[in-house]
Amino acid sequence: MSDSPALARREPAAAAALAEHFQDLKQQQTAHVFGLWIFLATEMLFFGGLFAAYLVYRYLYPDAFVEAASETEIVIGSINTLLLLTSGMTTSLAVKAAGEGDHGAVSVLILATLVLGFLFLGAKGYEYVLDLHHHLWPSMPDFKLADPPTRIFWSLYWLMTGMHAVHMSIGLGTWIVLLVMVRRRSFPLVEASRIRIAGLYWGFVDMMWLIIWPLLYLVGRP
Amino acid sequence: MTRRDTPPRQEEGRGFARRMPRILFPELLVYGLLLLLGGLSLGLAFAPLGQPTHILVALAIAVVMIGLVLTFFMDLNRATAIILLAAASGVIFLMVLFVLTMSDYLTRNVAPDEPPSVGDASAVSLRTSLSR
Repeated sequence: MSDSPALARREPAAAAALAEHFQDLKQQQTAHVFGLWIFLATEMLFFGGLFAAYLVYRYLYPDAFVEAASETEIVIGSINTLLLLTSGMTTSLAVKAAGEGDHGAVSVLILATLVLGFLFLGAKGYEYVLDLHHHLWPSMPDFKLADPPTRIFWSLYWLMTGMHAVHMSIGLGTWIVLLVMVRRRSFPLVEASRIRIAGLYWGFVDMMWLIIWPLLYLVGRP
Repeated sequence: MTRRDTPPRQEEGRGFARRMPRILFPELLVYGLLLLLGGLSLGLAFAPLGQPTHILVALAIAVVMIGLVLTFFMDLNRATAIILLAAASGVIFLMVLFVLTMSDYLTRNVAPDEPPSVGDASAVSLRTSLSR
């Protein structure tokens, strides 16, 4: 693939987008998506470790987990679910618009994703402030809850949501770079692998939240 | 294909408006379904279901939602066999992780009459917690 925007504009788009070690664009795109799915499989196992830890401790201390989970901010958690689901749709549409070669629509949809993503992180940050204010950091001497295993839940809460936020930040960084590239026409949209790959990664982040939301927020309701 | 890749700026916007319904179709519908399922999950969280049922129902709905995201937002409905395999491999190894882990924890109290070794406080506390 050509790195020079000028060259990409001059050459026929398909030829410019095709790396020399691939036969055609279809093969190239499949290789890109295949590579990302391998990466996502390892990511599933990364989060899977946290989910397995949750499962074990939930099994060992069922009552403490329900008690601890009732302290999470269900309103903020649910608003964040809404924000992430919406951004999942905008990224999916961005991938589709890229396939149509529509620079304008891709830019708008990436921008919408960025706004939703930053809103998510903002809400998450506010939630963290509230949690700390309520003495819910597990190593605090004045930790809010008396039963020791509730601290295990809250360790998992900070780890899961923190790791998720790190992934969100990486995703947002990727979208910012892609937005600049799309605005500058740095790559021909006929080879939309970059956007497709970012969309897949974002979909994964979306999916992980769909597991975290019931485990940390929904479980503690009356 | 070549022409579509570098269209004049003006036509781009109008082209998108014309193609809008076709572009928005499955995504918007799936988004609506996801919102519906999310709302259902949130509503059921406040329903008096009892504790194990509670989390199982929420997770079952989550699995359906993830299925929708995978199929439509992550394009597995149009994926080739090798990509489906790569995606499935993550899930399969996740299953291995869960099954092997739980095969330990779920079977730790199969011989409850056997006394713990002397001074083994952790074994005693584990046994107490398991018998709860």
